[in-house]
Amino acid sequence: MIAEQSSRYSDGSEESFSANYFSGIEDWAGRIDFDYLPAPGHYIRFGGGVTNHTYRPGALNLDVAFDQERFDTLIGSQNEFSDELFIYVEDDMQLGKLKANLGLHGSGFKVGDQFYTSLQPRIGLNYLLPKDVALKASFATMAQFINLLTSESFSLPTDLWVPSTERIKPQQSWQVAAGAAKTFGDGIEVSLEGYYKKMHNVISYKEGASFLFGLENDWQDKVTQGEGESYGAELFVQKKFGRTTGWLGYTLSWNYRQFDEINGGRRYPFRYDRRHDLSLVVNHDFNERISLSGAWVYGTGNAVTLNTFEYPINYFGSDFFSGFNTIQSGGERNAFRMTDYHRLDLSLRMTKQMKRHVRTWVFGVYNAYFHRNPYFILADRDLVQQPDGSFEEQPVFLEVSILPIIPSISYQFKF
Amino acid sequence: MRHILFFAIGLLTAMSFSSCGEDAFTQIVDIELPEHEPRLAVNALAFSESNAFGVLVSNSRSVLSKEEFSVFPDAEIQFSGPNVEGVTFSYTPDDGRHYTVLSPDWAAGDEVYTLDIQQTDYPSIRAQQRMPRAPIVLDVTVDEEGALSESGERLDEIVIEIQDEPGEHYYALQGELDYQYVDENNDTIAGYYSVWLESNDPILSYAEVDRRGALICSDGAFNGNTYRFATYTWEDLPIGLMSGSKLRIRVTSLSRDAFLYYRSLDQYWGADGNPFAEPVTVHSNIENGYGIFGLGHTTIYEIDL
Repeated sequence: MIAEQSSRYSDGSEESFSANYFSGIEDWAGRIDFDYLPAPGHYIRFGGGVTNHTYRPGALNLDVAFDQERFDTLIGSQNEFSDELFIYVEDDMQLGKLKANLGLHGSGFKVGDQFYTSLQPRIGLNYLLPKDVALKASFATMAQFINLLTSESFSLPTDLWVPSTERIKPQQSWQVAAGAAKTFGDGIEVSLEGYYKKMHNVISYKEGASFLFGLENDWQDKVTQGEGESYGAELFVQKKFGRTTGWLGYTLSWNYRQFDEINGGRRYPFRYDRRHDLSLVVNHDFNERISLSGAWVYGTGNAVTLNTFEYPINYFGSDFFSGFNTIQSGGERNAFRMTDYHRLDLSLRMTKQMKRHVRTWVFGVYNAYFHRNPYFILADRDLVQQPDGSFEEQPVFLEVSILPIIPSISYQFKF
Repeated sequence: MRHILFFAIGLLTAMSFSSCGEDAFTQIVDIELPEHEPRLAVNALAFSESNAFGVLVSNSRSVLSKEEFSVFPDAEIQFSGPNVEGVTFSYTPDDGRHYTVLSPDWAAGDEVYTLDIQQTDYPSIRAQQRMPRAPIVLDVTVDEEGALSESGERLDEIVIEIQDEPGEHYYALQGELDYQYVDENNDTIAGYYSVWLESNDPILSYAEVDRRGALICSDGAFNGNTYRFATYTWEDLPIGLMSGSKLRIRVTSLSRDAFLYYRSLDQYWGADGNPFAEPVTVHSNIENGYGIFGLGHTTIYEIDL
C-alpha cells in the first residue's frame, strides 16, 4: 500500500483513493541431481535444471471512488517471460591435508529472441595445518539473470527483482576470498576471511527516474547498467558448548557502484554500503526448562542522497521583481548517512513436560530498548517560531522509523 | 517458575502499553544536517556562435539557511585561451551576470580555455574546458509529413546527418525558422521562431541548451561513423509556401561537462517535487566551488523550404 485516503462530507458524499504497488515472480521449475563416487577421495556431483519464469516487474493499482463513480485500474509493465537452464558438475577431492572443490557451472537464459549463455568455473581450497588451524581460499565466477533494482529515492526505499531482458544484460561477477579458521579448546571456533568481488552489468534506476510514475512506459527505459565493487573482511566466533552458547559475526566492508549515467560517471557508495555490520547472539540455559536468548544487531546507516545546500544557476532582476533560479545538491551521490541501525531482541523460553504433551511458553521482545531505527527520510517544511514570536516556514529533514518495541507471546504444545 | 511467568507477562504488558502511544508505529526524529561552508557558485556556458559570454557569480548556502543569495558585482573574472586573452568583463544588474564581448571567430577547436574567478570573501575558483571541434554536418533534409510521432500523428520529418569523428563527442540539435512573405497589402513580413525538435530515437533526450529546447546525445552508439538523426517537429513548416523561408539547424558539439550539466539539469527539473524520484546530482565542475563552466562549438546548416 502506497497511499490511502477516504473523506466523508457533510452533504453525505464520499471520496476515497487508494494506491497499491506490487511486483511478483511466478516460477515453474524442475531439476535433477546425481552423486557419483568413482574412487576414494572423490565425490562428484552433477545435474541440471530448468525454470520457467513469469515476472511482473512492477504495477500500480489505483482505486478512486467519488460519490457513485468508481475508477479502478491497473497501470503496469507487461509480464516478462523467460526460461532458465543450468548444468553443473563438481568434485570434492581429498588430497592428503588438502580438500579441494572444483566445479563448473553452465547456465543459459532465453528471453525473447535473446539467449544468454555463461560458463562459470569455481574452485575452493581448504588446507589443514597442525593445531586445528585451517587455511581457506576460493575463487568463483557467477552469472545472475535476475537483478536487484534498488530505488534510492529517500522517501520510499523499494527493492524490486527484475529479469534480464533483450536489453538488460545478465549480471556477471567474480569473487575471490581467503581466510583462516581455528578451533580452540572444546569448541570455540574462530574464522577470519577477506574477500573481493567485482560485478559487471549491475542495474540501477537512472537519475530522476521514478519507480512509481510512468509505469505505462517500459521499465527498461528507466534503468541503466554499470559496474559494482565490494570488498571487506568477516570475523566469526562461535561457542557451541556449555550452558551459554552463541556466536559473534562482524563484517567490515565497502560496496561501490559506478554508472556512466549516474553521478557524472563517478563511483559512489551503494545504498547498502555498510561499513560495520555486527551480530551477537547469546543463548543461556538456566536449566532444562528455562532458557533466555538475546540477539543484538548493529549496522552502519544506509547511504542516501540528501540535498544539504543550494546555489543559483540564474538570476533575474527588474524594478518590480527579482529572484534566483536555484538548484539543491548534496554534493556527491549517497554522501549522507542515515542513523546507524541497532536493536536487541530478547526471548524467554519456558518448557514443561505435562501429562500428555510438552508445552512451551515463549515471551519475546523485538527491539527491546526501543531504538528508533530509521526506515526512510522525509523532507518537509515546518512552521518554526522566531525570536520575535512570529512563525516562519523552514525546511526540515526527518527520519521515520516504523517498528517500535514489539512484545510477543506464543504458546506451543507437542504431543 | 510461576513467578517468572507472572513477571514475564507483567513486563510484556508494560512494554505493550509503553509502545502504544499516539502513533507508536511511526517515530519521527529530526536529522542534524552537516554544516555547509558557503562557496562561490558559477554559471558560465560559452558558445562559439555567440560573441557575448555571460558569467553568473553567486554563492551557495545551506538549505536551512535564511541568508539571501548574493551576486557579486566586484568579482574579478579572467577568461584565458586562444583568441580571448585580455578580455574584460563588466557587470549587468538585469541578470546579475558579468559579460564580455568576444571576437566573432573566438572559438578554437581542441584548445583549452580557463576560467578564474576571485571574490574577496570566498576561495578563488578555477575551471578548465577543452573547446570541441566544430561538428561536421553532412546534410539536412525535410520530408513533409514524413514522420510518425510517438502518439501516431503524421508530422514533418527533419533528418540531420553528421560525420562523427573518433573519440568522445556530445551533440545538441536545435532548429529555428526564418520566414518571409508578402501580404495582401504588398508588405513584406519577415519573422523568426524556434523549431522544437523531437525524436523517437532512444539515444536522444531532451534538454534546454542555451535557453532553447534541444535534443542531446553522446556518440557512444555511432562513434567515428556517420549518423542520421531522425527528428520531427510539431510546428507547421511552410514547405513550398513562402519563398525565402529558411530552416536553420544548429548542431553543437558540447564539452563533456556541458553535456552532463544539461542532461542532469533536465533530469533535476523533471524530478523536482516528486518524492519518489531517484536523486539527481546536477553536474558541477568548479574547483573550490559549485556550478558549471562549459563550452559548445556550433555548426549551422541552412536549407530553403
